[in-house]
Amino acid sequence: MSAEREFLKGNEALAYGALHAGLNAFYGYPITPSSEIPETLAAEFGQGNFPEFRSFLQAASEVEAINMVNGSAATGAKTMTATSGPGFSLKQEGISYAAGMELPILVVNVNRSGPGLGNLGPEQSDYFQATRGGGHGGYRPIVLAPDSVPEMAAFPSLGFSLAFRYRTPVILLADAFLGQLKEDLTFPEVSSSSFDTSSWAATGARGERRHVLASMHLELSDQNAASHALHAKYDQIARHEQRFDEVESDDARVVIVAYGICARLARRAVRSLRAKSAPVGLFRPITLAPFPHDGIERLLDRGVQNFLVVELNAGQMVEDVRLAVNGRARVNSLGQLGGLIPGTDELVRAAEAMLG
Amino acid sequence: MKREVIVAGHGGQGVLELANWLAYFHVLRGRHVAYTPSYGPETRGGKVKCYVVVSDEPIDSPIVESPDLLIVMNIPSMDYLPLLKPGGTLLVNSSLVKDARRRADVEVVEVPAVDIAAGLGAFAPAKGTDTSIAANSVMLGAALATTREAPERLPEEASEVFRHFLTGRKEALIPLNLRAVEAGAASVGGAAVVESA
Repeated sequence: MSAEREFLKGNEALAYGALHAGLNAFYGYPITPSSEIPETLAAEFGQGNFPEFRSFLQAASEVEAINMVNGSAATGAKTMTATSGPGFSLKQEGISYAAGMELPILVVNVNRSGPGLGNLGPEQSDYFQATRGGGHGGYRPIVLAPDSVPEMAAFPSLGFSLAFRYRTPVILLADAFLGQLKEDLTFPEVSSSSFDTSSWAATGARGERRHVLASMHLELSDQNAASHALHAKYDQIARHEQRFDEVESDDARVVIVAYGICARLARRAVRSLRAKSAPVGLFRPITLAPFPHDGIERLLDRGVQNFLVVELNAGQMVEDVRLAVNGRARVNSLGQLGGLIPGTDELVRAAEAMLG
Repeated sequence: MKREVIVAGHGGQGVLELANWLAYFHVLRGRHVAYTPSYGPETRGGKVKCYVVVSDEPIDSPIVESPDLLIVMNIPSMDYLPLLKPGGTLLVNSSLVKDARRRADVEVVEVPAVDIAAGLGAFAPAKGTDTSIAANSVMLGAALATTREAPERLPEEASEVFRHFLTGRKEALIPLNLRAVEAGAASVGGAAVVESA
């Protein structure tokens, strides 16, 4: 299907993006609004279009699925799971183990709304859970945030390359809107990259060096060394892997900070404001973790005095923006909850209010 | 060129299909297209609303706040009429909606979609319902004809749209749906669309 224009749902595009990236194994448990991901992969499994896709299983639960993912990743296979809210919570223990064992896994969360069972509408309320590492033990996952169907297709490849480069869990945090949105896209002609896993993967090969993948270190000094090594890796990730995008931010006096579907709303708001000669731009974190502090720093150096953070929650990323800004500019928050999307006019009014 | 569309009706009327077909028609024409479904947990009878944005430029927001074209399939969906841009087009299923002329600043195009589909021999999915299969295709034909863009290419393109979506057992429905597109286009004064099924 490469080079042809496609018209796919975000979830379908993500599934094909993973296949183009050389996905070896998928284990999951379906949950709306992410179910088209396993559905698409199940339909492709065994068809021969993607010969590297060798294992697909619908587990009996999310807990089972994430542990299958860890087992598969321990052999060096490109392994993914996909879920939404309640299922993401269930997978946290397994993600913590993957972090501790330094397994390269890709976990997709198509964010729905509210705590508990909530609703099927889009929210970005899992921002804290994803970026802080929702499980125990103080690990730091990489979190990628697409804002379009073409990025839903492209980010599994990026996710795998980061996961394998750093041997760490990567979370692809989408939202229910992006999962259901259909857009035109062309799959890039990618040759799926293979990663050298020979130094660590547990392949069971007789006669080769023994590889131990464990998150348990019984001696305090061993745990101390392992934890320090992990955090040295996280520091390196924070230094080298910040990603962001900017729109019309060069001369902006107000910069809207938004990711995912909110970044699309913000693009329209910026266009509408620029049409009125209002100097407003957009800063879009692509890595929510590591948060692109350097990008915010550059905006501050350029003299930006106002940030307007727009997100589908009661204010989560705004805390990261405030940390990055550290009192050097005004930071306002505009949130929406419960699966509803703010109108362009709300963004425009909030930005204009900051322009004064 | 940029056009924003809302398609609204209830579950069972083929609203999602209609919006998908309309969107894919423009994908075939090489445009950027964004389609967003929104519907309740019910399948039949629930509210269904879709956004379709079509543009020669990359699309900023896929959310339609003020459409150029509003396609209304049932009475409750007339609630979206205030959103329609002044000078925009309301394309309405007049088999169900009898009082569509509520705004003087928009063009109102009435298409008795269910009656037209019934005239083609399309059947209602259940006795006593106010829907009919292919009524959505009638509306598609009307929607495509109202834009008056390259009508000579419609037959082949409509056929390609249906070949993309109606596969397997549904393939048998392509000729009926092509006749429905033609009848819908003709009902709004568009050129005859289909030369051969």
